[in-house]
Amino acid sequence: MRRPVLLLGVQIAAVTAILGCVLALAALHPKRLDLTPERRFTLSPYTREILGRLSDDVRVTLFYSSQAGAMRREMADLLALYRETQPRIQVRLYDLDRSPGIAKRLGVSSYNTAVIEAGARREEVDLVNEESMTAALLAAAGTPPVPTYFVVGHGEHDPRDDDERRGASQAARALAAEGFEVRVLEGAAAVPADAGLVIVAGPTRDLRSAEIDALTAWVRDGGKAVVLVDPATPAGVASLVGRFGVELAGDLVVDERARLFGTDGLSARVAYLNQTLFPDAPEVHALLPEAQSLRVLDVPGVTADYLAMTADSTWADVDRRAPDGDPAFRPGRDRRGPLPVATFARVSVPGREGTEGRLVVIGDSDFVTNLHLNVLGNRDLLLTTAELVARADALAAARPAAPIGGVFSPLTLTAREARLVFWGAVVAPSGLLALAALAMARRRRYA
Amino acid sequence: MRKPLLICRRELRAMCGGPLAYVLGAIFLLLTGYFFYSDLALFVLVGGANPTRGLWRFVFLDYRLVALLVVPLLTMRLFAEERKLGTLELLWTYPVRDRDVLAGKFLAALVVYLAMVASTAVGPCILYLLHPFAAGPLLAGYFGMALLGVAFVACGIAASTVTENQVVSAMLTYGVLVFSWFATWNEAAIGERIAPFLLQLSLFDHFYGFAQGVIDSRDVVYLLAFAALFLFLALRALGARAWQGV
Repeated sequence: MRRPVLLLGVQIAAVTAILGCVLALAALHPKRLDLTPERRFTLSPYTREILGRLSDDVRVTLFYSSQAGAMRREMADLLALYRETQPRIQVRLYDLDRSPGIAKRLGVSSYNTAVIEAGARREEVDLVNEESMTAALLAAAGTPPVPTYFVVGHGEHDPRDDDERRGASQAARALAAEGFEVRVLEGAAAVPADAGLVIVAGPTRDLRSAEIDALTAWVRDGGKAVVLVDPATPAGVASLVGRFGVELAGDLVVDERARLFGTDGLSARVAYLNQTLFPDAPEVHALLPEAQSLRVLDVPGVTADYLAMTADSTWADVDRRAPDGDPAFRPGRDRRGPLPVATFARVSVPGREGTEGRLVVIGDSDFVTNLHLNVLGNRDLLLTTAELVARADALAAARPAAPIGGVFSPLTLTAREARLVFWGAVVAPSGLLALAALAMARRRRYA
Repeated sequence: MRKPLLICRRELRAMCGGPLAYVLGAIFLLLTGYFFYSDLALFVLVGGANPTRGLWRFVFLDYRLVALLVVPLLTMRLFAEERKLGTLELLWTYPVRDRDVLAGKFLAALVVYLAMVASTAVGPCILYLLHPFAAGPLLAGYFGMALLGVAFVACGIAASTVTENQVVSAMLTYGVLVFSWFATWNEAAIGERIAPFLLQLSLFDHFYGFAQGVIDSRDVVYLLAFAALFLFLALRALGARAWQGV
């Protein structure tokens, strides 16, 4: 009797050990199949690119509540993805209530807060999701932030404005998440000395000549600027970009084949990015709500190139008739696509080797408004462009998907539909089986 | 392979010949249907913008509880009843090995469970016809439910091999499964050193990813390993009669 029991114990121990090894192997080589439509559990190429560039050790300390297990798991899963992608990241999880000493040392007093430490730099994240974590990593361990000035005062889209149609507050937040310190510049007569990037987002009134001269001098002195110009751009702004070899066509791009359902086909989709400028660029299908095409001219000291083109199916309405009706293409007058809608100019600075001014001109400004920023690849176009202009080594990979906004359910059920679900999902299946059980019981009784 | 299938067919006939499987199925579908309807109503009213997080996650976490309630009742009789009625000894007089019997009964219980789980798809199908949605998270959830069923049935069948009392068999299964849930129910109640270890062993923590639309190889391997361990224990329990003189 004793030997069989001993043998059984050995067998159980051996099988348990084998299964333990299998589990350990699975833990060492995890594979994930993310079936969520927004790929919530897969790091975006942008985050992976940033993680790949980390050269210092980074410590992430997360303080959770033991009473909120589901949230802790979600955050821990996300941090595990970061650690799996970049072994330099060390992750520590603490119950805030049980570790007040560590929390106090790191200055944390609320649940679900992460602290990112890289050397002497430290960043705190209150909302632990991919967008905020990557932004904090970039701030703590990436390149230094770029002071970015939005010029206002001439009807431009304002980064402080939360208005849905005109405001650009979401664009400011998206830039801030990527290490751009967004500020506002009232008038451009004097560009601040610390400016790393100046953005002129769709002026509707002309800039004064002193402002145009100041911006011109600033770019020629090695400054970086992005100018967004709608079809009816004031003449002064057109002359500003003209000094850097960019001519505004003043037309209206029509993109009927790529029109979105429910729109009038005037939104131009960006079909290609210049592969020379972005070797690993993702497909940025940005949608420019009302764009004009651009032309590159030869200007001494300036090397200009096309940055983004529309598809072959687009055409340029040179008389801008499109808003008034449903105009057809006129051979010999209108121009067929592909049409350049963005240009990139490099300006050599005399006497300063290795320094160059950079200017990107995009033939539309509405794509940065709160209404359009999260449409298709608009956010990516803005961020990729800002990276290209402001930083020598641009991060061009696809960004994490914007969190699905709003608190309202996308699903609305009518009372009739709700009744259909109730009878179809609750009553009918269980009722049928209950009837089958009754029939079976009766058959047994009379068998 | 033929013998387990023959035993599986015999077992299925026995299950479907009585009202138990139908009663369990009716209760299973009533509860899962009710949870689906109430979770859907909650999602429509206050669920937020993300169906994966606001609807499917809660639906599958609720389905999980119903499976926990029903599977031990499904598996309790597999060996315990035969042992009590003496028909197990009769079965052993046939030229079949223990593993054939175990595999056949395991398959039969799993088929009934999967049929019940598949029937719950009626609700999502109706919803899809009314408002089409991304099916990926739903498929991940059902895949998780299938794997959870494999683990539950294996645990239940192991409990059924060690007793001839069906109630004891069901309670043993409840004990193991409920402990694997409550072990990490309140992390504040367990030590910080033990918590990570228990979390790794928690059956329901390994189901959480499926409910959120993600199939993780670690979760799949864990649930299969859990089932393999209990099937091995069941096999050893059946083999014990050789040295117990039964």
